[in-house]
Amino acid sequence: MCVAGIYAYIYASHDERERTLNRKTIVEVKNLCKSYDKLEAVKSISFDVYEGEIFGLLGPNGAGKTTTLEILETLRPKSSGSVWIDGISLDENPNAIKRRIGVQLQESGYYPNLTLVEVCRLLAGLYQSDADPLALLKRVDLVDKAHVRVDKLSGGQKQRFSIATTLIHKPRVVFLDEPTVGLDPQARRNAWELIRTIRAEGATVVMTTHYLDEAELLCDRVGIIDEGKIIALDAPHTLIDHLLAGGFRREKPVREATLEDVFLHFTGKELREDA
Amino acid sequence: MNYFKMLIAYVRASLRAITRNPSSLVFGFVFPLIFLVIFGLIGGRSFKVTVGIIDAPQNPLNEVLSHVSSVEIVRGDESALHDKMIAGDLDAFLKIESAPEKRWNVSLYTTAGSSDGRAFSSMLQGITSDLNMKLLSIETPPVQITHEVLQVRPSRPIDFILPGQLGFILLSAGIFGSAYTWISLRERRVLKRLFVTPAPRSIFLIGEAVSRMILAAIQISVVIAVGHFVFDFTLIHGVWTYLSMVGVCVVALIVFLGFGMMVSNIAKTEQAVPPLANLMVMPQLMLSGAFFPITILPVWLQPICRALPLTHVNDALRGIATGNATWELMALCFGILIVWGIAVFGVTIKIFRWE
Repeated sequence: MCVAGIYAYIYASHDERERTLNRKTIVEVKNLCKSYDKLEAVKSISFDVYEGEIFGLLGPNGAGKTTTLEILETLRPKSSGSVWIDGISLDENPNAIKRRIGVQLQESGYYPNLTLVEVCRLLAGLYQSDADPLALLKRVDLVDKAHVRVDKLSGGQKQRFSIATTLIHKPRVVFLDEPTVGLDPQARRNAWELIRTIRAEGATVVMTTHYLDEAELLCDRVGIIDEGKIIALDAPHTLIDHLLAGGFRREKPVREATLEDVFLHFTGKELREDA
Repeated sequence: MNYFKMLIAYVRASLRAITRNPSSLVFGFVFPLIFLVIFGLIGGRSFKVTVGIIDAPQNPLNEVLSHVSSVEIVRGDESALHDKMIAGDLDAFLKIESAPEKRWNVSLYTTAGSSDGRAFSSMLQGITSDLNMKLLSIETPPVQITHEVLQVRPSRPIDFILPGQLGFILLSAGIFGSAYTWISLRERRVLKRLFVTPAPRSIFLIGEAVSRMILAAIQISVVIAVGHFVFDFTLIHGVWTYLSMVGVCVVALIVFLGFGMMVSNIAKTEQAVPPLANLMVMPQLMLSGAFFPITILPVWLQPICRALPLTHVNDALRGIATGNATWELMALCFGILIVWGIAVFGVTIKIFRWE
């Protein structure tokens, strides 16, 4: 463990220390490759995700984040490499993996003309789960929308519903692909709370995001992907400490508050549902 | 894994979604029932001619005609009746003049091109010849006619038009319904979301087909029930006839669902679906004898009509309803459906895209 790592360990909260001590790998990716014709989208990626953490995959557009995620989600065949989720090999039993993971896709739709409860019932049926749709909707504060059609929801509500549907069968690992894209600051904070609750209830979260402030606040560890390779992988504050240790200094001095803080100061932190 | 439960969950959701879609209700229930009522009312009109008789002294023909139920008699003087004829209120009028020795001269006036006038003319011939023989006391005329009506094809308009409506339901539910569903499930990434569940992909294919079949069976039952109880549509062996018709419809629907899936895969976007689907629906609707018999179409078109699956479905349904379905007719219907089924699903499997 490097100096920065020890430093991070000593100053980490009790919860965080607990998690670091009992590190059990739940997602194991080894030398994962994916190529389309001549394009190599993913070039031998390896990483582990530990049980109970929020793991972030970061990277510019086209870096291979979604491709990697979709391979883990059993949606896309890999070219080579190996993947284990909760001790199960992707090659041997993809169906068993499907039963252990919850998946939120980028801009995925739901069966047209159905209400939230009906979509939940359909998915519960396909997962063979006896989850109560109303209890599920209660967790994401959408009980009053239970009999409304999905397309009538606001952006934030849709995203919350989308996350809720990943929990129907009590998955061990939840994959979230850009869960806060297009949300206003209030709705984003609300989604963060929800993601933290999912983790607190025992699931591991693997997510992608473009918002680095979000990754810094939310993720226990992040992997940065560029051009199909992982170029950095550690806890956000460790990565920052490394950068600073290398002599990096921001050009402008950092202020104590950001424009987002100003925005939230004036508009309040309560969720707006009318949008 | 209980695949049956997965299928039930899918079919339930799919049926809910279809019944909430206004266009599937309009095409599935409203249109067929409107057509049925319109054609049912046309068919309900029995033959009736309005005939004017110029005021004349007592005569036997006058007596007989007043007892014929399909003839409505209007009396008046010659110029009044002539005016009514020109106005189109009369199909024919008669001038009966008495001649010596208990004879009568009858003059019949009709307008050119009036089919009801022509029909009344031959009717009058028959009535007059019967009357003449009676007046001449001939009891056994040398030439006698016995008339027997053979039920070889639907003679009543409702027996013809209702099976055509069932064909219309199958075609729109199969082609339009399934094409729209598949393209929207694909383009809106609904399928992708479903693929992360442990349900095998075949559940979605079978589920869509089953929900369409259930809905079509309900639509068909409603149309047959309205036809039977309101317009006296013939169900020769009652419930069994109805069940056989539903059976033929379900098999035919599978083929049309294949057409719909083919369209959804040829089309790149949702906007491309209507023209493509119409291309398969409209010509087939016109050429398959759904609304009018194909025998009135030009001879060179007939082989094309005979090659269409819906033509044979319509024939089979009409045959079953009136009790004229032969084994040959049914074998031909299922044979043609199987050939089309193999062709359509062959193409569909080749071009089918899940994403």
